[in-house]
Amino acid sequence: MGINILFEPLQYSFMQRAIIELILIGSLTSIIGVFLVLRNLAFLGEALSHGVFPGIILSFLLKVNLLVGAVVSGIITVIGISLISRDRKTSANTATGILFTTMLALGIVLISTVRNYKADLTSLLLGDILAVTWNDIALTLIVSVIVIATLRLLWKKLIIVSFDPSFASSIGINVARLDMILYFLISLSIVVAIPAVGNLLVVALSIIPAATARLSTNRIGPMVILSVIYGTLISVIALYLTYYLQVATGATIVLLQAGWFLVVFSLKRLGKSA
Amino acid sequence: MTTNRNLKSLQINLDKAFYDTAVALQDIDFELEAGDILTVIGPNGSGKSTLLKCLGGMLNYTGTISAEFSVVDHSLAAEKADHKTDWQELLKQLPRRELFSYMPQRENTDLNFPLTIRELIQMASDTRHPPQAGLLEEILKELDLQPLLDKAINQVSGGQLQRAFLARTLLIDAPLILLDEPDNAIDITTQQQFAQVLRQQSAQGKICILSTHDLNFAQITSNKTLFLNKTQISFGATSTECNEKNLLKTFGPKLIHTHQDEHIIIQSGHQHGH
Repeated sequence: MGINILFEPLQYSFMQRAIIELILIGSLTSIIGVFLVLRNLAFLGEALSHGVFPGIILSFLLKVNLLVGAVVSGIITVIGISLISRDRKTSANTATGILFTTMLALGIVLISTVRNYKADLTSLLLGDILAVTWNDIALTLIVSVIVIATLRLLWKKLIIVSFDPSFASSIGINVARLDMILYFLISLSIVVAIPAVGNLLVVALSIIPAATARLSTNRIGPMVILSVIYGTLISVIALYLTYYLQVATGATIVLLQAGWFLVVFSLKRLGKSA
Repeated sequence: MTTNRNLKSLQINLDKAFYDTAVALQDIDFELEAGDILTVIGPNGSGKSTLLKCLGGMLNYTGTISAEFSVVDHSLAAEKADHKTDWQELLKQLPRRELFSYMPQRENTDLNFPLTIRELIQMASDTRHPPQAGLLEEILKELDLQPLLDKAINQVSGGQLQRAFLARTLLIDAPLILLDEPDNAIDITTQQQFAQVLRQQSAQGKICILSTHDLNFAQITSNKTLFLNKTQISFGATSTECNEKNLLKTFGPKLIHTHQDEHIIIQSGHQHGH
């Protein structure tokens, strides 16, 4: 017991890989989560996570890189939402609801063409962090570098567009183009996180750490840092829990993230009423 | 590089202006000269914001807007001495900040966004177009913003926040200043402060166009007034145009004057204008 609780699982290479992968996707999704939370895009994030689903299946069936299929499928979802919501009788929320369920259904139909598809479907929907390979980790690393470098380059413009799109456009920022870049980065981040935590819950990994961080600070820099700390640390703690308790990892991460959100939320409420 | 591109005059001759696909404004014809401060007065949905957005290149219109510069600027292909240049051409040729600055209606911004006053004002700064030395300090001093710089935008009063939005607009240092309801949520003292700051801008030869519901603000701020209700009702010197006849024609017989601190406010609901 004691310190061994921390080190015992590390003798297994699948646990080493799982921890590295969780730290990478935890950082990536929680930085992206800051934008999802600040722009009230939780529902769009959810839609994108399911929007990339048929693309992933199709890439899997056609044996091409899953990122390609996922990104194309994510972009189709975003364009579909913006086209449908142009009619004032279908709001952006309604359009989003139509698109993401349709894309999820399309993905399920596609994968059902494979014999014994249920095992594949389950692993895609629920994820399996313990099955992560070095290839998965390399892909996550590449995507992290692309996403974080792009965010760093466009940071100020993204903040201006998020806060005040009219002003952004008045100083010559192309708001629509920047939005598309942001959706593209969201799609990329979601895709690499799916093998580990599954399609159903992947958005939680983005939203909850950022929402918790938002509760604790009024500054954007500290919000990003806190979000990354929550996104990685709590996920790794959850991984240890599932190692000892033998429960589903993805769902445990989400529950622990939600638990921490509740703690911060309650402390803040208590602090206010005191 | 700092440009001293001052407007000598601005001719606005709109046939129709479109918001989405609907005609929001038609038959507008007036001219402004260097140093003019124009107030645009009209009920909600009368086209005040549309007019400002046409000048900001954010909406489509038929008709012409043309500008004449006081200094011949050889960097402009389309410009010849004492010749009028089409505004749309200018918007294509020059960075927007060299033509106009724009303060959007604050309803379009998320006032809980994690930003400090400093970060809000710095949105206007651009490393490729650094402001004139000392300009920022001067603006901060005039608008009493120095002590508020490190406060979060949700920690300051409505009037203080509006001062920060005005500072952001002025930091762009453009020859044309467009302000959409800048007097929203400010008290009479701040109104007077705004009027004084805008008069200083006009003394430098800049043209200001602002929309408001508040006759008192129009009278203390501007030398010209445009009454608007989907079309041009009247245009001329503020001292002569702010009369009962124009008010009735613009707002209809339901117009209510409330005398609050010797203050005439036009009660016309609280929805956003187009």
